[in-house]
Amino acid sequence: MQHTVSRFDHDEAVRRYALHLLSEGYDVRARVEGWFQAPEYIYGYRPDIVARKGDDWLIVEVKKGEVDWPKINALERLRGERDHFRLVIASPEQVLAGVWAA
Amino acid sequence: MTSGESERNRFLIALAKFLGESPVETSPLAELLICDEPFFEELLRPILADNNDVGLTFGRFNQLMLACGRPMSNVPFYEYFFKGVSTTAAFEGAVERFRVKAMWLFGNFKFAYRRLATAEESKFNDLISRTESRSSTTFASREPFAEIQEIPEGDLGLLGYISKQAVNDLAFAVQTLRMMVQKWDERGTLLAALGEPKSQKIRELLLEKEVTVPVDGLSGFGHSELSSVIDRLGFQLKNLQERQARAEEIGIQNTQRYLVLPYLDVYVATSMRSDADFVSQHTFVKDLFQNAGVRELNLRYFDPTVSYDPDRVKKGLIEALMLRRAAVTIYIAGAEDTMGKDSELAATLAQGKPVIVFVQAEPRFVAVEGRVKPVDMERRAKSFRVDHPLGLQISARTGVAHGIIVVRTIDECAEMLRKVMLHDLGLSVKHESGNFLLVEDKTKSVVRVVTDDPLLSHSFWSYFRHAEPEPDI
Repeated sequence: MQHTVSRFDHDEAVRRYALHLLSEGYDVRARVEGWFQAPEYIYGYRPDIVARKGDDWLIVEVKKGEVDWPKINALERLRGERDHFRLVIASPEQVLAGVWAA
Repeated sequence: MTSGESERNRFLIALAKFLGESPVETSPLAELLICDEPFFEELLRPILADNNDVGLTFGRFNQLMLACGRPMSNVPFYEYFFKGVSTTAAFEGAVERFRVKAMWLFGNFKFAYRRLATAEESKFNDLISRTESRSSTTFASREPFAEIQEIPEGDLGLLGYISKQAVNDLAFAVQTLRMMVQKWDERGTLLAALGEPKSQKIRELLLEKEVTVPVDGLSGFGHSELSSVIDRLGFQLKNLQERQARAEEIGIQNTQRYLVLPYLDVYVATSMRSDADFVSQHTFVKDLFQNAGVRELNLRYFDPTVSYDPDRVKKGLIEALMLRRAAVTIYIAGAEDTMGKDSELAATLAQGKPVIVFVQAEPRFVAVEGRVKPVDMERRAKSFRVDHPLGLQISARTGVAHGIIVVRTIDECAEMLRKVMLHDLGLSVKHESGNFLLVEDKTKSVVRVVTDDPLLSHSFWSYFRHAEPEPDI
């Protein structure tokens, strides 16, 4: 069976990252039910967070495990196609330790 | 009317019922006979030769069938229902027995006769065995059902999507407060970015947790005061999340166990809106399957209160599969109808399988949020018995109209479940308002319906072409 991180750690990391981006002045869409509007699908996958500040677009995906590979592939494809999109693939451990890429 | 005439009328009425016709006094078999009436009288004479005696040999039985435009019967059918019939009462009893089985298997008397009477012996035995009582020894010799792991009663509610959201909301609130402390000088910016609706939601959540919120809102907290709130709520959150994680872990393992069970007997349709629902419905399931009459059958049952999947779609698919695999559904009727559970009831009937509906007898009146008057469970039980929209559904495969068995206590539920599993229901045919009803004797529940409206019946069975009979229970 593939390794996956705990749902609790993943969800906590998404919450924390979304709040961090909010505090940094981004408009945030995030998969935090009841608190944020969910991001739109990108090539069939819904990222954890899509944040925007002016022309700066940030897509954040908090890794759950190997199962994320096609999704990350789809998000990288979008980043390759649009210069103003940045993509952050973060592990829950990084986020929970307060290591931000943006 | 002489005694002989009375006996003769009873015989003819029973014969008409046997053949699926509604008899009229002037000529009970007028719609059936394809021979001259005097010739039919000639055929009847040796059968009803003596007062109260019926001489219905295999040959004479088939002569009657031919004269009434029906195919001749094979020996197994005749012997099963009519061998040894020597009185009018015995003939009526045999006809009643046939009609019960016809309604049970095919929902149609004429088609049932054609399928059963013309079947070869092995096929006949196969069909008729689906209606016969089964010994409990087959069930009793199974291993006890011990695969499913218990979840502490107080943690069952943590598997619910509402509770899960409540924990997530608390986590969001705590995380927001933490970020306020971490970025103390910029907390105003954070709260402004968060927006008033979210801030309001956090304030309400804090109040629920008995935290006194300053009059000027979240920004009014002092640093140490906020740190202390975070410590307290963080501790509560951690405890909840640990319990939830453990409950989810067991729930996921249970789901995997359910998915690979070699067989499943019973699906329990529940509705869990609150933590109390989880506990009460799990308690009902435990009590039901611990009931002596049911326990010895070692039934495999799906208890949704101890099964979990984090994804709602997958959980729905899992439940649909369990419903499909189970032989019978037990529907726990709360005070109100709920879409999910109700669709499970309808889906079970549409699959041609029995449903036992439990409507609690005590307490009789149940308060429901948002309603002025409490719900009268007595009235609700009556509604399920008489005119509930879900009380009668058509099997999508066969067209047979299925009703539900309504019970009021756990003991009664256990008794009916045992009878369903062992094919031991007491059934009789009643006629009311132009319909034949197959009624379960103890609960007076209607479990099958056949209309005697000729056009409706003909049209119905023209579109619902008969295929295989209903499943064996």
